[in-house]
Amino acid sequence: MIFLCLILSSMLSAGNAEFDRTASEGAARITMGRFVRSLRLSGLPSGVLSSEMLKNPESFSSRTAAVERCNSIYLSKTAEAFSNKLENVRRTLSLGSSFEYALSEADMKSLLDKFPAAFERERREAVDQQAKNLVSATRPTEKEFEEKPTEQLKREMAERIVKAQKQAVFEENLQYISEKIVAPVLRSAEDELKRQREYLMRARSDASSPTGLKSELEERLKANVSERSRDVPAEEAWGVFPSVLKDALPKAVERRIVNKMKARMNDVKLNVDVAEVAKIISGDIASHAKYSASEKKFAFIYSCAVLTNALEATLREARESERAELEDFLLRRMGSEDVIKALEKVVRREIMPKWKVARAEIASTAAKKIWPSLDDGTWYPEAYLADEVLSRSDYIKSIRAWREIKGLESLARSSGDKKVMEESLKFADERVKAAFELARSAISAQNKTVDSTHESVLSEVKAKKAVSPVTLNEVISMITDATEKMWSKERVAKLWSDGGAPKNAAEQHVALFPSVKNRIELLARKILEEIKKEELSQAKSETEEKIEGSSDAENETMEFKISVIKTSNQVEVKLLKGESTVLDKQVELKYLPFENAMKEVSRKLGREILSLP
Amino acid sequence: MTQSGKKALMKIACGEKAARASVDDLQSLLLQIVFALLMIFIIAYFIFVEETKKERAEQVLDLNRQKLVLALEKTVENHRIKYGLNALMTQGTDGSRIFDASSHVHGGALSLAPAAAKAFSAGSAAAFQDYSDAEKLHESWVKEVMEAAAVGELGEEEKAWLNDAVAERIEMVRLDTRGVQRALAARLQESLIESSSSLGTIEDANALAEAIKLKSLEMIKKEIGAEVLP
Repeated sequence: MIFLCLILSSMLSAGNAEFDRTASEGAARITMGRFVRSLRLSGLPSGVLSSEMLKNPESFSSRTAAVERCNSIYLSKTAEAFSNKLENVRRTLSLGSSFEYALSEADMKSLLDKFPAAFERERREAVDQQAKNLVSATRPTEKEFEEKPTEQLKREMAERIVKAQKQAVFEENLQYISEKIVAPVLRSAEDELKRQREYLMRARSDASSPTGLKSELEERLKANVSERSRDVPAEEAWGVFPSVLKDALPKAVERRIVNKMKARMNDVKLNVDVAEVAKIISGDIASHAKYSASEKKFAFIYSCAVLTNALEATLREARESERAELEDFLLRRMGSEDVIKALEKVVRREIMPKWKVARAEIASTAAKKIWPSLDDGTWYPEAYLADEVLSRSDYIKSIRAWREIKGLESLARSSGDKKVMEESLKFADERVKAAFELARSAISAQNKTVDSTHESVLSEVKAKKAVSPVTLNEVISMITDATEKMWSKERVAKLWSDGGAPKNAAEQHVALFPSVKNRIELLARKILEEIKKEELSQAKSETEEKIEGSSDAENETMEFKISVIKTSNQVEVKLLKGESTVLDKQVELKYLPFENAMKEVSRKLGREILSLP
Repeated sequence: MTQSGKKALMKIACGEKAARASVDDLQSLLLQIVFALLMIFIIAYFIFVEETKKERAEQVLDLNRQKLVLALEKTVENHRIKYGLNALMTQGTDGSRIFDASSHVHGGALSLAPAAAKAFSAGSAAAFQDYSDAEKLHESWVKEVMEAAAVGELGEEEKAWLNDAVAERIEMVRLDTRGVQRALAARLQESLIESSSSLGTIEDANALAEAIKLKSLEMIKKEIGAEVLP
């Protein structure tokens, strides 16, 4: 019985141990669960992988190898962390190895998914940490810098730097070395090379001869480089580059001497004498008639003068002992592109504008002398000539070629056989054109005047017709009188409204132009037609009765023919009534004359049909 | 032993030298030997007698003790019943009584039959009260045992033994009661562990374990409406 009681008691009191054990195991499970969750969220603590990489960079230099190694490290570290935590929990809660906690597949997968981001982060850390500690005192020599291609030099320098490190360099840092260490050194060399070249151009020197200047510049350059190497950090200090002494120095000497001469060119002040220019031009008018040819000749003359003056000024500034060498040097370079361009620029900018003004003056004087009537505006074309030229459809072209117009030969030959300056000819062209424009304005104004007489003359004719018959010539005469009266009043004001009337204004375009007279005739005919129409409309019915009850003689058929014969430069228009010719017109092969002719034919035909006079 | 006695003994022992021992020496030696043997027997006799006396006394003690042990077991059983432990036991197939805490906890809560719940609740309260005054409890136990055993006055030794036995049994019942309460609490802990958000954000594992324990005991207390043994 006692035995049974003992068994029962041991069963009941086992709850005490179970209570503690359950709580401990539960706490352990919760703690481990939280630990796993935190691992899933944030992965391993930072620095685990980067410290491995930095401890043993040889094994991690290649990124591919690093990924592989870090993956296994990550797994083992995760397992280790888990195991350590489990051990810790067991120890803390006195659970012993009987308490087990395993990671689920989902946990494992989640932890492994954290690896890529963790690797990237820690790789970056390791690479940056290594980059900070990269040591480099590697620099190329000046000779190396100039002789080797840039890419080769970059490669070699990077290799030297890598070798100089105490440990392997991560793959990513090779680019860092190239960009952040090598490139700045090469840029510094490039800048220094450029600076030395520029220094040669601006360094002070009292020497003028090439030899003297060269040795002085070389000395100053070396002193400058030496001084600079003391003042700047070691990585920016360079010696004199070989190419500077070999190439840049001679070029600098040449440029400086030539620049000095170019500066003297800019200082040259040449006067352009009009009389002198006129003398040269008149001495060889054939060569100077064309503006461009004359400009070239004078540009050459002035260029020689400028160059001579500049050379003398440059030599004057040099020491006596240096002049011979300097002169020889400059003379050999006179024809260089650089000097020619500078010379042309000076001549074009400073001298040729003055020459241009002088030439314009000379040409103007010559033109006025040859064509005084064009100058004072007293010349004007004859009325018939103006009409003839202005009636052409291409009258502008004709005026431009005024020298070929019949009737202007004497004006064209005013200069005789001598060559005339281009500008003078242009002067004459413009004045002739202006004169023809004036004549055109006169024609137009006269035509308007003719048109304005229509109503008054119509009334006058009607009034006169009531008394006695009025002929065509009478109507023409009425219109002409009226037009001439009006024209004489308004002529000067209409032609020279700006008040610039020439001294023979009273003579110019006084008479009516032939085309205006034609217009007058047409108007007269029109007026008569209008009157006739009026009369006809009254007698229309009588005329119609007449036609209906007409005799055989009035019913006879009339046949009219219109013939148009075109030759090379003329058109012949005929109106034939039966076998007889009623109207025969020959006109130029141009649209307007032809149109006028056809109108006349139509009018005539109408009169014939209607038996009008 | 005198020199003469040594010599005599040597003679006896070594044979050829015996011829030189005198009769008196021999007799003296023999007498001494007999006397030593006699002393041994006398001592053995007295030890035997003593042992026999003790055995008789122990037999008397054993009988009392048996009565007391039976009384103690009975008292233990009474207290188990008083503290509601028996209400939670079930009968096994072999007739033995078994306690299975899992059968009394379902869905994170106690699920006791009304009578058992009442007995357990009252028993837990009684246990808490009894064990809050250890001296009084001990006295009541002794009294109950003495009454149940119906033995006379106990000797000092027996009293001491009884006190030790009672203390041991009191502690045993306490552990049983506490064990049952905690076994039930252990089952409730499982639901706490599964939804550990109720435990807050305790970082230390030990502190977490303590929190689980405290919370589960709180749950028991709440369920039974009585204090649990500390």
